[in-house]
Amino acid sequence: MAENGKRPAAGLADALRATFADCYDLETRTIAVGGAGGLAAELFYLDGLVSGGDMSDYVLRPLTERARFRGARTPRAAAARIMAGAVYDFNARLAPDAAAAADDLLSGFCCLVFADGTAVSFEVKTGDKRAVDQPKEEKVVRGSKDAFVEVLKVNTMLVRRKIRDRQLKIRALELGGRTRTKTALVYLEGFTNEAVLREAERRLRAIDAEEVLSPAVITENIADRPRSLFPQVLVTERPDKFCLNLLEGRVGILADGLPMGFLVPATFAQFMKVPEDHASHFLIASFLTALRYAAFFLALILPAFYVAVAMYHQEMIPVKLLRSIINAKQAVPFPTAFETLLMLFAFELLQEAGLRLPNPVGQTVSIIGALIVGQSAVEARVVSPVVVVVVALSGICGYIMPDLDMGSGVRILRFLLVLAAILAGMFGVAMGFTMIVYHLAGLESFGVPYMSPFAGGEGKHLSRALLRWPMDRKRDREPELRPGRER
Amino acid sequence: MKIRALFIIGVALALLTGCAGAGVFADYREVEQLEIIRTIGIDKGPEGVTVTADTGVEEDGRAPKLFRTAAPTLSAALEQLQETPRGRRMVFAHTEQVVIGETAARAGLAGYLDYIERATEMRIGTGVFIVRDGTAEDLLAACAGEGSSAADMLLFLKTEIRNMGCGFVYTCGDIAAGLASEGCALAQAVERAPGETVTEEERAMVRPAGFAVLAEGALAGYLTEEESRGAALLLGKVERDDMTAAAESGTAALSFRGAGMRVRPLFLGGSLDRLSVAVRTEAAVKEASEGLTLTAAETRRALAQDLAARETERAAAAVARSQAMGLDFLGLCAAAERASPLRFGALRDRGAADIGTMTVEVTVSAAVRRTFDVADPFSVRGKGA
Repeated sequence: MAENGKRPAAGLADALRATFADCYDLETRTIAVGGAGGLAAELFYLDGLVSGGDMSDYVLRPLTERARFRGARTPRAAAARIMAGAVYDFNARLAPDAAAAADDLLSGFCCLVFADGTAVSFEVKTGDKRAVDQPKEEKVVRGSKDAFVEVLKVNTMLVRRKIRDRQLKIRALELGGRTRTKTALVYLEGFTNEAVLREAERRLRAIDAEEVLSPAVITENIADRPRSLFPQVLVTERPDKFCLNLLEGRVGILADGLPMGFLVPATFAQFMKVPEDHASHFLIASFLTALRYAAFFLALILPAFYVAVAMYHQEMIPVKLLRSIINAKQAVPFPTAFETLLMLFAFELLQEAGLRLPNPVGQTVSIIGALIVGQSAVEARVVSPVVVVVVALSGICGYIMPDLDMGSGVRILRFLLVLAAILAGMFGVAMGFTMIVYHLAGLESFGVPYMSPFAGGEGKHLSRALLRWPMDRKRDREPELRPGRER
Repeated sequence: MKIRALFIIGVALALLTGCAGAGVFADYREVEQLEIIRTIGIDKGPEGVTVTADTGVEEDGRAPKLFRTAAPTLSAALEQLQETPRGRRMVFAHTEQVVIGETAARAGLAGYLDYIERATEMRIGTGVFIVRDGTAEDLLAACAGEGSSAADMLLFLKTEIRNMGCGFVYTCGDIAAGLASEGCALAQAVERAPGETVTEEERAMVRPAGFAVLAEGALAGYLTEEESRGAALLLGKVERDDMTAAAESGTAALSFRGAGMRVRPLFLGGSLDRLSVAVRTEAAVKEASEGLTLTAAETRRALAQDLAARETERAAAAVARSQAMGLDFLGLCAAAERASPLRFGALRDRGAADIGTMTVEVTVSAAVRRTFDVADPFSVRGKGA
């Protein structure tokens, strides 16, 4: 029974009720601190955010033990006992006002409010979270099989476990006017360029968004040229990739609720690398890196090249192949331009359908699309087999891109280049490609040239982008990322 | 702003190069509307130039299509082929060879070469054949049948003739360059199997007929087979040729290749004494007759000497023909000038280096390999002689 049988006085408790009015998950419980006849207090918590077991075991039980509060006649005295360790919950703090108490409730605390308005918050965050699982978007062939989850602390733990270095710093920020998403700026002190770090923090703090619930809020707000089709923030769900980049001198960003890490500065060459490069023989890794560059080029240009050659420059096709194309095209009713665009469009539709549907259904759609529709389209002479081959090859090359955003950019640009090829043949392709190169050469990410080391960087580091050197001859880190380097 | 600037620059560039708008679309053609021409035959006719276009054997083995037209000029004739309403546009970009009838070649082929060099669609790497004692039209027509065409036969000949040792297919570019620099050039001559004794199948086959000598833009004559073999050896165009050489103890079939000639002008007292032309060949024993002791040094030496003597004879015949015609189609003077740019170059500048009057000494040296004893292959490691 509470003191005098009264509920705690109005004030902070009422303010909390008012703050969470119309919130069905706000729960309160009146207790007597120190057992029957003790000080009346009200315990506030948000159902779902707190662990009921932890609250009972580590908060309620000690609070109701008479021995712990013997002699504590006032709320202040009781609060002092609590802070001194009478309640052994690992994280307890005084909430000076209703706003602080409300924030604590939103952060998974329960808040004990005495009649005089003294309030103490105890962290009893629920442990309900998705277990650390394998990455879904970035397949691991050989390497650690963990992936970031939605909980920031788990993510920082994953990073800490991989880099047990005192110089690993995790600076906390809060983003989003409404969501107030906890965000961490992760870097290796002494390894990271201070200018890049300062700029990353400045841009993060400058994010003027109500919510940080999707990755685009971060990537688009901190990128140098957010309207570019090329990604300028490296996004990964793999902690090993995240850590490798931290060790290169990049700045990492982790946000609560987002199961991925963000890395800046990003360069084009970085998007062509995968952590497996460090897990396989250096010659194989170098070959695969070169293959990725070739795949990027083919994914971008192959359909446009085919359209240009088939429509305007037939002399470029070897005579036997040209004859095969002519024979295959005899009964196709559509012009080359139309059938190529049609196939590209169909390919995008199939890809999107396969991506959005649940896994088994998605696979079925892919099989129906690729095998049945593709084959039927060729047999029905709706499209010629060469176009199917070209579009499929280009699509496969697009899938080789390690980064989803880079692959998506290539998909859009592929259409534009095909249109340029339709309008002006190889001249159009050359113009389009030149404009892409011009755009890429002009991009920067946090002061680092996007095409570094191919353009704007130091030429002698070119091999680092294209090859993976043996571990015993591992080259320096990118010069632009070295500490003290400012542009 | 940047995008706008780029767009303007792009449009301006497109306009400046003349590749914009209708200019581009004028070249547009759907691939299925094309007829690929692989060989063009050119003859002299009453209307000027008679052109026969050969598509080569179709994908499914059907006989090639032949299109014929006549016009005052080659360009007009080719245009006329396009105008014939067949529902297909002819593409000459894949023309692999040009066959010129003897009459047309004698009348002058410089104009045809000029057209090919200027045409944006055709390539200067197109091989040139001269039809000996015949017309291109007849040759193309005779070769056209189920699964066979002159285009395919000539293409095969183009790659295989180096293994026959009797010729080489020069391209439009080679011939035009030779005519421009030396005033003469060689072209591969071809013919159909002659006579009534051969079968129909043999009649429909093309075979090499030695080199045709071109001078002043027209056909000046032909080299005999031996002269052609000598010329091919001197010019380093023999990848492989076969010959039977004799030694005292028997004969051996040899397969040999030439390494091209080395020309040195030799001066005596300030004036040109002679041109020394040296060629080195390497031969491998393909088959030895019974009793031939290849392991013996004197046998190998005898085989090499026999090979060298016969090849010297061929090369000398080619040089003699060149001197007799007064045409340096073997490029001896140009090679001598490269070897002695100052002294021989001065001679040429003065017009004193006339191939017809200078003394040319031809030497062919030979080495014979693969001379091991089959019964005991480790006995001798086939040292050359």
